[in-house]
Amino acid sequence: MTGMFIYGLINSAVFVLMAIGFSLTFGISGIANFAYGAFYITGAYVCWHLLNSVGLYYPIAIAISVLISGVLGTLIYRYVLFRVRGISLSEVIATFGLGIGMLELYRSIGLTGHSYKLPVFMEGAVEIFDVYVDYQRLIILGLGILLLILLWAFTHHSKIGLAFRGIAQDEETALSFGIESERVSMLSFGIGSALAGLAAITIMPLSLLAVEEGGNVLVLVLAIGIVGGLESTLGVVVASLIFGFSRIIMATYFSPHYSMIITLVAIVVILAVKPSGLFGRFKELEERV
Amino acid sequence: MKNRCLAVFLGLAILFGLNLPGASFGAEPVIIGMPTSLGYLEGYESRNAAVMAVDEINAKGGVNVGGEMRPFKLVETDTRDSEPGVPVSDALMAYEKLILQHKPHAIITGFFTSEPLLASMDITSKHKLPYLGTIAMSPKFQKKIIENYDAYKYCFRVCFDARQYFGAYLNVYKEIQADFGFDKAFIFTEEAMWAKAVGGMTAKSLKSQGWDITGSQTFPKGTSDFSATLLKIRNTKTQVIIFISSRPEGIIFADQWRTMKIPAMLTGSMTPLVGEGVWDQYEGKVNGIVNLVAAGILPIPAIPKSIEFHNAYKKKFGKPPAASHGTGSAYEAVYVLKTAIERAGTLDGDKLVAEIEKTDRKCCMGRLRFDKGHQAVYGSDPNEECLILDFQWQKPGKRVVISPTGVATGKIQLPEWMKKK
Repeated sequence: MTGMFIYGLINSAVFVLMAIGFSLTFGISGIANFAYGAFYITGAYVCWHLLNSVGLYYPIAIAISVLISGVLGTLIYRYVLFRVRGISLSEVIATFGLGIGMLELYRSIGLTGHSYKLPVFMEGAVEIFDVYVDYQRLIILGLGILLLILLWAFTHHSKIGLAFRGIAQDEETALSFGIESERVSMLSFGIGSALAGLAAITIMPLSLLAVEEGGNVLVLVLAIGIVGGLESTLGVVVASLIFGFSRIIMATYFSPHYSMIITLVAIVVILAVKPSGLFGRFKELEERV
Repeated sequence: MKNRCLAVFLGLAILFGLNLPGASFGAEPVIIGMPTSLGYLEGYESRNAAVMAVDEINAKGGVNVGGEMRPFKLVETDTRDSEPGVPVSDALMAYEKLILQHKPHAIITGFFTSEPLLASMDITSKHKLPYLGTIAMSPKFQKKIIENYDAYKYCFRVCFDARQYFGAYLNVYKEIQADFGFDKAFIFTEEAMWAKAVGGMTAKSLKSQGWDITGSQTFPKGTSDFSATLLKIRNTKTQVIIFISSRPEGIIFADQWRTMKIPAMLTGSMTPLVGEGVWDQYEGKVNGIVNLVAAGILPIPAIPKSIEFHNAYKKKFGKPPAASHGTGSAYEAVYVLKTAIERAGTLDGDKLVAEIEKTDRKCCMGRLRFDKGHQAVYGSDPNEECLILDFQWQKPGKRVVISPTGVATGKIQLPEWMKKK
């Protein structure tokens, strides 16, 4: 039981880390980034090359990879999404197409098999209440909490962060106060992409670097977004806790197959009962009407 | 100026002439098709091994087809059937495209997983192509051949099947039971026909030997976290984990088993963890894992050709073979085909099948012959059959052969954290 609680908590932190960038981008720009899985893989793949092909020191490789993911996201927003913003279907098609294109590109240049593995930040494990937990998982837990605190501080105590919130609350009013909504949206897309890269670099040392993981991550972040509320950070945390614990319970008492089924069932149930998600406000008014 | 133009024209004509299809000076090649999951270890190593065999044969003049020496030519296509989310129909389309586009005279290696393998047998028969499979392992393959020989006689399997594989590692559990008194096992397999078949047979057999099966689960392709299953294994006081998978997830599972210090021996088949270079690649973290591999990938003195193959592969590709069973089988499949073509004196599919059935070859896996279901015969005597080896990773980075006992090089040991108890 203790083990299930510890690993349930860690799994929840993994999901928070995965989904926070997606939620941030959607909350500010209103764009559902279907290329999120591809940005996730980009961060890890670039980091792997910087480590193994260039031979950089790990922390420097991480910093550059996160930066590259962010810059790539910003450029894609500027030259692709800028033109279609506000047209939901076009946004989805553009990001989805880009995501598939990026992943297939990585596959075609050799990202297949099991040769790609990122090293853990710190080797070893510690015994907590008779259960061994490796340091990497504890780092994920710590980073998940730290990231939430930093995001809160950023959006409440910095000029750009306040602009983020202004756009999220009412774009037209924010515009009348001199906030450039396009620039802020572009920045949110860039930061969201960078967070995807950071999540991958932190999580992927626990598994293997594979293109397929991009698709899995996209399904998971969408599920978390839909259940918690696409633009809500609190929703991300609550949905991650729900998935983190329910998946480990299902895998323990039934089969690992059910952990994916429960994700999809949760999406269907929430869409039927409260389409804006547990803490979402995006369509709350329409729902009430 | 006129002469210079003429010279340039002639030069270009010669240059293009040499490269035009059909204008080569050699004989028409014998085409071997290789449709498999090329992005995965078993797939790309099988291609390497086949390339090695083709190069060796071509260097000696090629294959004698009715008195004419012709080179082998390998054409490959990536069926991607091992990748998560790729449907069987896509893999089959890739296979038939290869046949229609390149018109191969025979197929080697073939599909990675059993689902497309079984579905493709009708396509193989339709084109009357000898098919020498070297990766997928479902026993339903030879069952189909025995039940409908005329339809499926073109299909052969050079690697071991799930039943032979299962038979090979049962010896390990007898040894574990005798040496350590363990009798609680948990079976964990990948979501694939062959793996589930092996898992089912293992559970049945171990139960009859007095083992308590504490649980039996499958995991889907792409699983990246096994903590729930490992906690279950720990909570059920399991002493032996039987992990059966040819997929990369084995690396993740083994890594989590080690970091969580699960007090149970890790045994079974973890394809990515069999190669000689694995110990260094994972910095010794595989210590204590009991795994399974075809002879040839792990060279043993009892089979001199296994050492020759291993060294030749290492020399050609810069690193030793590392897949569990496809590599040596693909290499031998090319030679089986060569011998059959030379004996038949033709490339006619029916005549080649009759000659392949007569195969009796001392090879890197032992002695290669086919049974009536066109399955290569595996056992424990390298002079009579091909061998599957059970081995344990032990310090300082050695693959110690545990079974068959006739070729064993050491005894099985407990993982370090279990020894302390």
